Amino acid sequence: MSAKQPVRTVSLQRYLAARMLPLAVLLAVLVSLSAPLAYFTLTARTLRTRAHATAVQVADAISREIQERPVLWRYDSLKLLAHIRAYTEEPSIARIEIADPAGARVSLDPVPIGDPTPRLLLWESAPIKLNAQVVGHAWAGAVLDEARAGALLLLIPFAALGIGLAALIYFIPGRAMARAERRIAASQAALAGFNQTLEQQVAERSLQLRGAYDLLQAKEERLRSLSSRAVLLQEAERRIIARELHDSAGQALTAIRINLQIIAQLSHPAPSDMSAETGLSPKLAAKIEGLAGRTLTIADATLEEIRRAVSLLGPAILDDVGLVAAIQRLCDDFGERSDLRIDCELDLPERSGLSPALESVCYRVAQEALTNVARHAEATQVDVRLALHPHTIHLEIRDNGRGLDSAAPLRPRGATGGRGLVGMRERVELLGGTIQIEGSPGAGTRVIVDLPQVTLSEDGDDTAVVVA
Amino acid sequence: MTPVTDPDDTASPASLAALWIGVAVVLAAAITVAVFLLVSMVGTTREPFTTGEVPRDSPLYLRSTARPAEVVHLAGSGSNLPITRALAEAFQARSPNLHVVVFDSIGSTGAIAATYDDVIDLGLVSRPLKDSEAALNLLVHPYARVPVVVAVNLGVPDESISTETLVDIYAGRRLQWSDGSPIVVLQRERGDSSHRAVAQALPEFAAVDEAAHRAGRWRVVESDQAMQEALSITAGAVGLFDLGAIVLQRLPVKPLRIDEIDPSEASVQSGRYPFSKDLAFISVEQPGGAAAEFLRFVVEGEQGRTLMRASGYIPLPEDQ
Repeated sequence: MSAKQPVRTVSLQRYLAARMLPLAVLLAVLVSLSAPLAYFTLTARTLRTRAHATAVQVADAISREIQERPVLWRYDSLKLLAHIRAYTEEPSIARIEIADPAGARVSLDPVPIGDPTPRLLLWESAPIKLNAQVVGHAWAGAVLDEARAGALLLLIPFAALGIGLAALIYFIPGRAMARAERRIAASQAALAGFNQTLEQQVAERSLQLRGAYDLLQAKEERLRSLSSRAVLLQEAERRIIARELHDSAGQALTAIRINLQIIAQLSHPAPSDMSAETGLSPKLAAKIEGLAGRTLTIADATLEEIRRAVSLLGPAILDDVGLVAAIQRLCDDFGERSDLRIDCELDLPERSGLSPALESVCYRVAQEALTNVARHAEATQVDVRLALHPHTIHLEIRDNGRGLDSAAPLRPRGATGGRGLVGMRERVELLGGTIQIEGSPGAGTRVIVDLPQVTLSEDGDDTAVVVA
Repeated sequence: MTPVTDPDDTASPASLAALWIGVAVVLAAAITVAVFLLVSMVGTTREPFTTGEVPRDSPLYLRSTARPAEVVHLAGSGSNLPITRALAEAFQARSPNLHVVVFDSIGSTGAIAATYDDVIDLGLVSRPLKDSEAALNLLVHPYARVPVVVAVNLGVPDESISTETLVDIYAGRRLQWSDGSPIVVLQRERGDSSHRAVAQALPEFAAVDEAAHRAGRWRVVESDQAMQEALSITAGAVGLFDLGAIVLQRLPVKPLRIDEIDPSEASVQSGRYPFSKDLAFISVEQPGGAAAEFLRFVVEGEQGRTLMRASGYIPLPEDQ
């Protein structure tokens, strides 16, 4: 298994606490302030109403005085003031003032009506009317002490309530999360134990599988080696058989054929050579001649069969001229037949020591590739490269034709068969090599073959091994 | 604490910051609403009116129409009203072409201000002018002296009272009359001329009177009219009142002797009776026309002085 990935970890409790903190602060502030603020607002509203009612009463009193005593009312200020001052006995009414329509304060008494100390007051006014005309305003100032004191009094328990609620929503989820974390930790520990056991089991099973895999690979390698060796042996044997057929049976049949021709000539001497009497009756001579002719025909047919068998067993040209010349000749032939320009770059020493099987595969791959190019590629240029590396043989055939079919990459565009490419792959892979067929529509095709230099003997003469 | 993998950990700083921002936004909105409410509800220390001189043509200061030469307007202290109205009636009977209008009480302070403002022709005062009032350079014309008596409801059995008892009654140390009936003290507002006269002659009374005001110990009546009505109708009531008003108006109240001394002209003039006050007219300048006629009728005329004396007042200036 792969190594453990580093993971970023965080405490769920801290994670939750970090998110609950702002909510707790919000709750504490809202709960602490809302009730005192509401109380303060409502009380201030009540005080404002009270101040307005007082202003209305004062305005009515003054209006009545003005109506009853149009001029002298304000000189009887002592009694009027006593009447107005009575309103300031209400604790919430701090001051009462009279102003003319322009807003200038009218002093009925040098001593202010109410507490002259400057402080926060809610001022409310009511018009003083005389014959439906506003001749001034009565102002009543309500003090906010009651509202402020009540709000402060409420602030203490509601602040405690807000803080308490905030603490509850902050700590209760945290504790629950802590318990959950402990359970998770326990589960993780158990899981880690299971995981460790599982990893051990997986490691053991992997070791077993690796052993089996190595064994399989060794067997596969052995099988490939055997296959390769079998192919090499097969190819060597085919070469020997072909050579034997060509050298022995072919020579013998040729000699037989010559003898048969001589027999036929002897059975029917030429008229110019009448002196040479055969001593045979004409009938017998005719029979001999006929027999010789039929035997000659059989010999010719057999010789042809042998030639075809030799050709099937292996490219005889390889034995005749070697791999380089054979491929060069192949390229020349295809060039002439298909009107192709073929560049050959065959970098192989004279005595390369290649086994017959390798030579056969290289020759046949080149032959098949060129055949495909000629048949399907519609190419104008083909490059053939053969190179000998320290341990491998590299063969590459590249054309500038139509390329491979995208739907069937191993099939040249326009080709209906494909057995040729499959055959090439089988030949190469049986010898432990690789074959790559690359190309895309319109970009040509490239066949790359890499073959290991395998032989049955050190000097590459596999036939000697077969004979031995 | 066992750390566990947080699948959302990479996004947590951003989400946490967004959470704080959201909380800050909510708090800011709440604070804005609160400030708006407070500002709209709380008001301001700044007074919503201006201070300074009120224009003379302000509707609040509407003046009376111009006074004809044959009409005299008088207003002032309630102590002056009974005798002044009686004098005005006698004056008009003698001089039918002239008219004297005596308005309801506006107090001595109001009389000084109204006279100074030329709203009335003659002001009626029942106390000496304060320094600030004297600075107005008004002319003072004393015309009567009236004894200030301790008046009680007719149901009170006592006939005389000592100054110590008077102080004890106003101090709340004595609560019953001699027959055991409760004493009901009627107090006048601060600055009343009768209380001022008694306080001037009896400093202990001044102290207990002010203490009673501060403590709100007694009923406070705001006018002579209210005082005479309250004394008449309230059993056991006691209050300071003018003898002249009682005599002139034949009020159903009883004046007590002080330390067994009757409030007669002789006892007042000799100083044996301690409580009295002087009534006077005030004017901006030397009166003319009908006002001068009325002033001469009261101060110099024998008819007026006889009327005052017969009504329990002592005419001023004193006879030589």
